[in-house]
Amino acid sequence: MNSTVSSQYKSRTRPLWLTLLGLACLVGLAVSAYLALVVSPPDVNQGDLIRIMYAHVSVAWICFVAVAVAGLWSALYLWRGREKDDVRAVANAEAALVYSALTITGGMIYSKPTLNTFWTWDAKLTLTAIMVALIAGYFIVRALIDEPVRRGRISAVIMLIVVVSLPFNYLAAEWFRTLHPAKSINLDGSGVTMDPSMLRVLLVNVAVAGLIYLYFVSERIRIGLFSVAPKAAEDKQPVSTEVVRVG
Amino acid sequence: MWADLTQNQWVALAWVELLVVYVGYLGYLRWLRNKKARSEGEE
Repeated sequence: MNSTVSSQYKSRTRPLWLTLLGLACLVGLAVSAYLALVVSPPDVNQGDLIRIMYAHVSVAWICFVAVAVAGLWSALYLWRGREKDDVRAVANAEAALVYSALTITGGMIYSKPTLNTFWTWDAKLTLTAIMVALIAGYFIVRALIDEPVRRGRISAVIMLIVVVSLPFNYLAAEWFRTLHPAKSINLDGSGVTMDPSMLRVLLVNVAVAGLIYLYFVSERIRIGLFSVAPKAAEDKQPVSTEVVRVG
Repeated sequence: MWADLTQNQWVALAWVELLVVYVGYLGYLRWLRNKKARSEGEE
């Protein structure tokens, strides 16, 4: 009995590594903001507005990562049916919603002074808006269904639909006419069209945004497992141990 | 209104928005943790 109480207590206490990760996020955020706002040189065309790019692009990349990881856990939930996979999918879906909302609002703030408009219904922006709507729909559907297995399965399918839209969103600036600038860093190996001093600052900002995403997801999974972990612990408890304790 | 903003004010707006959303989500996680802990205690 004591071991069960102990494991339940442990599951509710934030582990040391998570606290250290949170502190690393705080330090990282201060460093990335300093690099973006002070160290980075102004852009030859955009001037100081380039400093918005470091915040906007880093959260946009992490948004894609969060959607992809949420899709992975959703697929695993559909395959294995484990409640923990659903908890992990929800944690990543929440992060995806946060980062996609940041991507859209940050993009609007970046767009107004550089392109003289907050919004336009072109392919890239519309696909991003659809992605945010689908992720919001994911949580609306979850709120409407009480039965856990059905809720998990239907929401997992919605997340997989969001994942399918990712490549179209990523390549929309190349495939369609859009106000959104083309990529400066091509993952197909065709090169980087960005000054190295700015690239370094951008990569630090992406790394810190990724660190913060890891913290958010880890903490959200920990909270989500509050109601799952004790049940799993009880399931694992061998019957023979109980007999010895009662005796 | 928007036309009056300087470049530095746009930059500040973008970064403050980022920080506000981060802090807001942290607040939500804290609220959720307390809510779950309360509901577990009631059971």
